[in-house]
Amino acid sequence: MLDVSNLNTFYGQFQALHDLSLTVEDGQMVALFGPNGHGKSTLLKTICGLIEASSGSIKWNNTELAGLSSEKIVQMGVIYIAEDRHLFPEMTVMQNLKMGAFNLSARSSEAETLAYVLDIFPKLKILRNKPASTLSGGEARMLAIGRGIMSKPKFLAIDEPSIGLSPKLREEVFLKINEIRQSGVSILLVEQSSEEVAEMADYLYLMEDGHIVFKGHTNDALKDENIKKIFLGTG
Amino acid sequence: MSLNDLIEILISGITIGLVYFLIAVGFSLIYGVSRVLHLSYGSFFTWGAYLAWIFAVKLNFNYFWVFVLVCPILYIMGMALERFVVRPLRKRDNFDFNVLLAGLGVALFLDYAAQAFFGARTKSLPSLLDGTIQIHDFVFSYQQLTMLAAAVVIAFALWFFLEKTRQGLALGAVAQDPVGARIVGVSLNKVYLLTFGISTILAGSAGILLAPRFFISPLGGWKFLIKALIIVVAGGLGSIRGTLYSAFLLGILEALVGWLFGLLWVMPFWFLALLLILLIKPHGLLGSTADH
Repeated sequence: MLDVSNLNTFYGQFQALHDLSLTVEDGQMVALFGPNGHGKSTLLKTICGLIEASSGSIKWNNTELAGLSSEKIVQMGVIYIAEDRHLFPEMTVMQNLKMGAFNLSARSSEAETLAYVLDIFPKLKILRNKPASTLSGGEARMLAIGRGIMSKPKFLAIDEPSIGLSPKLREEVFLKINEIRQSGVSILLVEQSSEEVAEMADYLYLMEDGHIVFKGHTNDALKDENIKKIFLGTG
Repeated sequence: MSLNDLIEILISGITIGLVYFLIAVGFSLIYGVSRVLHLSYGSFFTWGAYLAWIFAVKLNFNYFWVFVLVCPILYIMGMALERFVVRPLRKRDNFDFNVLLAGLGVALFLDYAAQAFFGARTKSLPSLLDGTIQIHDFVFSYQQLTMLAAAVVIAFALWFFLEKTRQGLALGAVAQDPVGARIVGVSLNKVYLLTFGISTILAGSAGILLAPRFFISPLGGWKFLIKALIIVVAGGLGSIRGTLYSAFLLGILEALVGWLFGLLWVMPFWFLALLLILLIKPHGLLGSTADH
């Protein structure tokens, strides 16, 4: 279980996260919605140790993550999949995937994980010897998710996986993420708004200006017409 | 100039070019991975040669053991430089400029330490191997052939490390996308240490390979720092393949100019070649047009 409580993060003088609390139970998919630039990515990056928290706590199965290096956090299976992907452009698809299994806890089962990744993203098998810089937007997205799975996640923080994708590819990516969830990985998924994600998730959060302004079970939230409008981006 | 002369110039140029490649690629790795323009790099070239002199001349080890003993020392020297000079500065403002000055300071310190320990007079190392061999019309010295063989072995080991091992790929990962590297759990500090260690081995072992050919002197490394800089810029900053091509090109140019006008004219011609390359390709032979 991931338990974030009273988290504050600053960029210099600017406070990006205000006293933020959020929970992801084991095996759950939690969706975090909200407009651009309101701190959603900052939250994911803080959880994964890419940005330092100023105060508050991030507990992963009772281990405090705040203050740990990203190297240690990755080793514990808390993995970030970035919106802007951060692939290694000059490396091939296979080398990128191999780098995904860099941390010690992922290495022992690298071969099986690779088979699993190529099974859910068969396209990557065809592209295996291509440099990452030559991939299309959709292919690069799949490689980013595949590389994340190579890290042997127990918890995935996925940042706007649908951005820049066609509706058809969007749907495909969400289906794959759902598949990953069903393999037992807990997921915190960030989107600006998305009906598909809202319906897949167990629990919904809404964020504005670095504050959580709504949280609730999916079923309850979607019953409320006002909330529904906000989540589906039609409000 | 006969055809045989030309072939000899080519072979000699390729040999020296490959050793220059080792020097330049170490410099380029440090810049690519850690964004440090490493101004004390030449001093480690010098120290590689001096350490080899201690083991080969003073203690009478053969060259195999010289390499086995000197490489770990160079590795530790490189890591110490990263850990105790570069890393403290990296955490502070104005890193790019401050690390340049610190590099100059370290270079002065190492050069004067060499002068204090070994004296200002030049030293020489014995040939890697004595003797010559004749193949058809060509006479090769074993010195040249062993230098070529050693450089090939080191270059191949470097290629294998960078392309086929996970730690080597991590160097590339940090060079290509440091945030991406952190996302997959690579520790930047560990990779910086590794890079400085390996690059220092490259500089120092090139110093050993070239010492029988040039003399060792406390300030002798500066010329090779400048050579590394020219090769790396001509090849395209950050491109290892570009570095290889430009090292061969400039190595052959060196052999040619040496044969035609004498070695004194090598550096002016190198700069001329660099200017020509940059006029045609402003980012070097294989440099990317995008800045990092």
